[in-house]
Amino acid sequence: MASSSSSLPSPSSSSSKKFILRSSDGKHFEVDEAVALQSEMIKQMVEDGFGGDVIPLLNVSSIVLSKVIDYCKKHVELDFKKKMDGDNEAHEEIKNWDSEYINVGVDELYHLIMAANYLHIKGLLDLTCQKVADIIKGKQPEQIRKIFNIENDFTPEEEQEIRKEHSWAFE
Amino acid sequence: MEGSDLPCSDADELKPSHAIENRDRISGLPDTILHHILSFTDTKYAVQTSILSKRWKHVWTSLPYLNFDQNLFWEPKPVRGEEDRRTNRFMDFVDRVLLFRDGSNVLKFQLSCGSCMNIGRVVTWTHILVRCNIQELDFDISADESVQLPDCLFTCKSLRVLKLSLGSRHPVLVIPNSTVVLRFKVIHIRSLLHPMSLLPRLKVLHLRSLSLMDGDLIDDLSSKCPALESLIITNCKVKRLGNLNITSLLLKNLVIEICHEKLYIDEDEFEDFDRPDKCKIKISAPNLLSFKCSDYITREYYLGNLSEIINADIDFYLDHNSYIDIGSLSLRRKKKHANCLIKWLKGLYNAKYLIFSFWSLKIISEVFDLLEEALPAPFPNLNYLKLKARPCCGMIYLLNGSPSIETLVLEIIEEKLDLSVNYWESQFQFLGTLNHLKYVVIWNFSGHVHEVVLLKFLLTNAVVLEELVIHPSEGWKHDSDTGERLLKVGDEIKKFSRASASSIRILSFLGCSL
Repeated sequence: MASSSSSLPSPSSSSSKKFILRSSDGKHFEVDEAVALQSEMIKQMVEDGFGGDVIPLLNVSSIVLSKVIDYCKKHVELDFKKKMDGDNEAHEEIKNWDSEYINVGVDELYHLIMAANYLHIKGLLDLTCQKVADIIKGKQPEQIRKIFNIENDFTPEEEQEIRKEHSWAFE
Repeated sequence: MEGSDLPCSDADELKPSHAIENRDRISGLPDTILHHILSFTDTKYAVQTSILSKRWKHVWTSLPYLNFDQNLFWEPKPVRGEEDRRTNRFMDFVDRVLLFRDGSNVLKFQLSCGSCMNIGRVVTWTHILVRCNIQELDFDISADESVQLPDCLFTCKSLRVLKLSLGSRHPVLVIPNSTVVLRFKVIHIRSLLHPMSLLPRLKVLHLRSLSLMDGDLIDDLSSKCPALESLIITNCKVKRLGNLNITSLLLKNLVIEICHEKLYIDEDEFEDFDRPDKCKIKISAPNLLSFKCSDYITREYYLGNLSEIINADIDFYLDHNSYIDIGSLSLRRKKKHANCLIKWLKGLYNAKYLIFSFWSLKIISEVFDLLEEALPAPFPNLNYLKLKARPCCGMIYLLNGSPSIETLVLEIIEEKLDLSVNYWESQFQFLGTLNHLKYVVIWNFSGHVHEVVLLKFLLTNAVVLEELVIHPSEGWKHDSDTGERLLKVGDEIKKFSRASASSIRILSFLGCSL
């Protein structure tokens, strides 16, 4: 239900505290406190006294970081909406937005997983891992290998052997 | 851990995408992330990844999350005894996965099996899982009359979440007698803080589709499960229970949904109308924040100290006869209903967010005069009220009785109304000023005159109203009458006088602007 999204007061006001995040390639991103604190890792850094300055994120490039910030911003907004509108409606909106957001290629998916893992953003890690799981589900090994470029390093005999050993899972 | 923990270099990342398209990234992820990925699939698919490459061969043997669903074991050709064969193959699969594991802990085990299965196998798995320090166990099985799971499950020190669903026959969950013996052993060995606790770390207990009986898990919760924060009882029968006592100090979330059993009542014969059993439910949870209840209106509830309660979702129902003709219930019965309601409303006195179902509101409407007399302002702190209803007197009672209300959500249920418009209009003279109402959301609005009257009075009584959102019923898409009516009503609403000094944002989806 995207209906009333414009009508709600914005959760972030200009007066709220800002953080500056620095990506691995040296770009700066200014974000609201609530957005930055979606990351458990940043939260921990702030608690440890890193908050005043620029927060360096050594393992995340600017391309990936800006996509991660998109996710955090939207979820801060939707969390706020959830409080206002009740669970069901907001839940539907989160679901729709997430599925649109995660509609990316396997390469981007990989970078998002690594970033979500490094920054400790549970929602994003779940979303990205769920996406990979959905791709794997019900597909033949050959298809999965092709999608993720996994090299089959078994000899035909070895592969046959594993298939035999695990026949109970392939029925 | 195989694979690298670091992402690839930045330079690499910034290259145009076609240059890196053919790299296998996923196999480089650490085991913990691969496990996390596989936790979202059925274990059958997880085991099948063993054939992808050498990197993947053993990943599944240390999976901390196991999900088993019998639905993935289908038989191509339906033959006699197919169900049995299918169930056997499924059980063999679970056996093997547990057998070939590398000995690491199992954090979560989820089992879903629609057809009756061999409980002996389930018992064996339970033994193995307890030894693997299981933290979250979710059995959704279909059993006959009773299910006896082993002692070790009910004294498992690692268990944090236990969900048991036993199928449409509502069997009894038998807690082994020997657990009692064990319990006394526990006194000697374990700390004296909770000498009787059986499941010291259990936070969530969800019991579904079973018959509760005396002496089972929920009896004496505070000592058996001292850390419990969430108790969810859904689709359960309480026929065999004399009393259900829910006493817990840390409990924050409680759901009670008692099975709705069809019954017919002869008023002369029954003292306790509207319920098929004598079970009384007593709740004492001073830190409870959220309470959802679905039960017969006349069930005897003792709502102890619920001073912290914030959310409540109340869904009462009646016996089969009364649904047909709630308007003509005897005075004796109405009084009984009113008394039950008064007890509930008093218990929920502190609530900030409240939801009443269609039938709850109908019952409130039937006896609203009695309620007004006994409890003119039941909810001084109520902020948010959601009603699934058609226009009725209960609405006015609740609005009047909630002086702090800020948000009102109405989900209109389509139903033939026997409420005359004049009477309905006359009821609004009793509606006082709504001093704090800021947001009104109406779902399934069909533009009937009762709804319009309600809107008119909300607009004239809510002095600080900021926003009114109207979602029309889907009906207008199929039926041109409704569409026309909605358009006409839209014009009408525009002309209503408004009490609020600020400009009210009216968002409607009626296909016209208001």
